[in-house]
Amino acid sequence: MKKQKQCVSKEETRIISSTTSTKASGENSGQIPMDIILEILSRVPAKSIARFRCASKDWGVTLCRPYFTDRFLKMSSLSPCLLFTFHAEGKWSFFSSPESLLISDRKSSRVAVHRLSHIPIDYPIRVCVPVCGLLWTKDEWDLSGKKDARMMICNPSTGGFKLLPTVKTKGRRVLTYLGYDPTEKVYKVLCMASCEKL
Amino acid sequence: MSKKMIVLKSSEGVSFVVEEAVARQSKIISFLVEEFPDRELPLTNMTSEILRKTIEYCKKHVVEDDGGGDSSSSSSGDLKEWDVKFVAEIDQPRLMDLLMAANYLDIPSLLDVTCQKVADTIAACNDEKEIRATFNIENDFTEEEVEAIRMENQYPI
Repeated sequence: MKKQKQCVSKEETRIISSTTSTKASGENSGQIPMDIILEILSRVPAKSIARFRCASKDWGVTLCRPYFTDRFLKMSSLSPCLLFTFHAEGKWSFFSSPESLLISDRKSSRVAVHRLSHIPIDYPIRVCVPVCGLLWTKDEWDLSGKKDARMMICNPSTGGFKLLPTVKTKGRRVLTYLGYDPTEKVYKVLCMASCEKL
Repeated sequence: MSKKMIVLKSSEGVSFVVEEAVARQSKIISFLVEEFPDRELPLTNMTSEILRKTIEYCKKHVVEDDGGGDSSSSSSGDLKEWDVKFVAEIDQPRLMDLLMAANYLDIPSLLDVTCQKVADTIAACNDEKEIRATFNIENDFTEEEVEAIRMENQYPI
């Protein structure tokens, strides 16, 4: 009977050892497995990810893979944030606040916001609702007559932005739309020229 | 009716007697308890200190199932606050150990809070040298390569 118990104990030890992914805990041992690192990195702000790409070649490659992007987006969708944006003093500014904070503290009229980024822009713009994390300016009609004014797509989390090419058309109005294709995982811009005035 | 207890043994051979419901928050222990009832479970790669911390967390998070239904949901806000305090009191090396323990024992909620705490800490790091030190990673980039990546990620902030 005693012998049998010993066998079982060995079996338990075997099972426990085989479930360990790589290194054990204890003295803060050596390398941390990559799946744990990704688990952690999917929880840092998007802005930090760019900096972490410089850590090592392995990280540089891993953090650019669609697998990580998916994981990151899944993680951030668990804690939705409200985005505040406005244009003032030559800057297009972005702030965010966790949705949970607003829901749990309804009585208070004050909201703590976290500063995200800003883009220097010296003409007023109108903004469309975000598409999968990106924002775009609304209507080229608004920009007509303003020198150097261009349609723009930006990432409020990082402050990165891209100017869209100017559209040459006989139409009086140019409408631009931004969409995300989840199958191919690409953003697409649709541009339409219209003869109608407004 | 007395509660069922199980025994967990740390790497130093210290035994911890824990209520089964508490220990079952670990999916691995839950599996082992079913496979090997009434056995002491040796956790050969967890120090007593980390095992004690893990048990402390599990005790706080155990859902009392006395047939009364959902008694735990009302205090979820308090529990979150408790979690924040719990990880705030642990230094970085031990936090990493606790994170690894949560991963190893498969306790998703503990893995979540520890990962979040480490994420918050590294997000506050100003350069990649600190990141390399935290994760024990070797820099295999040349200065030029680092510069090239920096240029790619230049934000107008």
